[in-house]
Amino acid sequence: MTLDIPVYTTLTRSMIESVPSTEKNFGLSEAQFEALLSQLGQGDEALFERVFVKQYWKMVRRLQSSHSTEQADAEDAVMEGLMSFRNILIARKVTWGNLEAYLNRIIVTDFQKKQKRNREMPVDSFAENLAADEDACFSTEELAAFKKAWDSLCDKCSGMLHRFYYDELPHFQIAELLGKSPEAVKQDKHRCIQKLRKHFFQSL
Amino acid sequence: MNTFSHKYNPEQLSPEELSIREHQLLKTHLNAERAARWKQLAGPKPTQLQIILKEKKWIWLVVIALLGAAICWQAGWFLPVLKDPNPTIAARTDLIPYPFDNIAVRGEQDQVQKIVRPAKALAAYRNNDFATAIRESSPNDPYFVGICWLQMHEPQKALAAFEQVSTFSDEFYYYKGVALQDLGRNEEAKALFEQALDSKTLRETYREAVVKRIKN
Repeated sequence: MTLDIPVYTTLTRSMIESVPSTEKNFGLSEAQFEALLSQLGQGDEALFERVFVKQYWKMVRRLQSSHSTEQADAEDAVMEGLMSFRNILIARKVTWGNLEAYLNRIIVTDFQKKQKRNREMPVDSFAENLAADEDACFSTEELAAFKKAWDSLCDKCSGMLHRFYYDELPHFQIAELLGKSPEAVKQDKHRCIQKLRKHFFQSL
Repeated sequence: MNTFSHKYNPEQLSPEELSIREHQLLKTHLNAERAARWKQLAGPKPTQLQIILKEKKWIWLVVIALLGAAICWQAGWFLPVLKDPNPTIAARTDLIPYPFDNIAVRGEQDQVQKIVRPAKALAAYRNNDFATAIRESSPNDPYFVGICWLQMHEPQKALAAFEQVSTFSDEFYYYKGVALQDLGRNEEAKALFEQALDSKTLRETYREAVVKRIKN
């Protein structure tokens, strides 16, 4: 006589613990996370802002308590961390699992790097740093002129330049999103750059 | 052209791509715009109370408070708090304690006043807990209240209570006299003590105490 013993899948404690929960992912399920990624890719940031920007003050408090930092510094670090995280999401370099820990690590790492940079400046790279700072620093007049030029662009142009230079999407991906050929995208981009430059030099 | 415009000299820029500086400018501008929008979305910094309520830390606070209260209750640590802060005051040794009963009948035949003393007030009086005795006393019993105040070394309040007494017993003159003596009004006190001594029905204990007080 033979007995048919059903095979039950057994879950060990470590297996149960390794199952990522929505709690570790800002309440997002894997499917919702995928939806968020595709929305971000298409330039729709509403879900991202609803999920992550909502956590802003919580993350500021966390950084303040873990690194005993000033509130203004913590706010800047969290804002920069959120922007880096957005870029990483757009580039699809992160997977669903423990988004909360991942975002926290980005914020803390960026913050520590910045602190280290501010603290330590080797003598031989002093001049180099000064030059870099000068490059990255813009006067209010420059920024105002750029804002004026940017605001005068049509939505199509600002969207195109945003995707290419800010989100750093390749031509073919922008072409897919807009339903155009990569060549047409390149031409549009060229036209938009000319327009932006023209408005910018007029505003200066 | 302004002084900084040389940085963007169109002749030096590549016709198709943005220069590094232009690229940085674009990123800086968009970052600033984004940061402003996100800050607006994040709203103002929440207060400590909002944080506690939102993060449901208050549930733990309530649980800890309840557990603490339960432990304190079980251990009887609340008893000193719940009890009267001045529960028992020792009776004065220089004053004869009046033997109050639960019912007092005062006045003449046509104006008889019956005072029923609450059991709690009487029990407190007998335990020398005069503060409780006053609290629990009947509102129409100023004689009882006055003697309690006198026991608590409050002659002014005792006198105020005695002023409300309408029917006087032999002992009343003694107690009122003590109150006046405590206030330094010795002449008035002496007059009352002599009035007490005039009564033939004054008990011997009181008579001796009155004589002693007059001599002092």
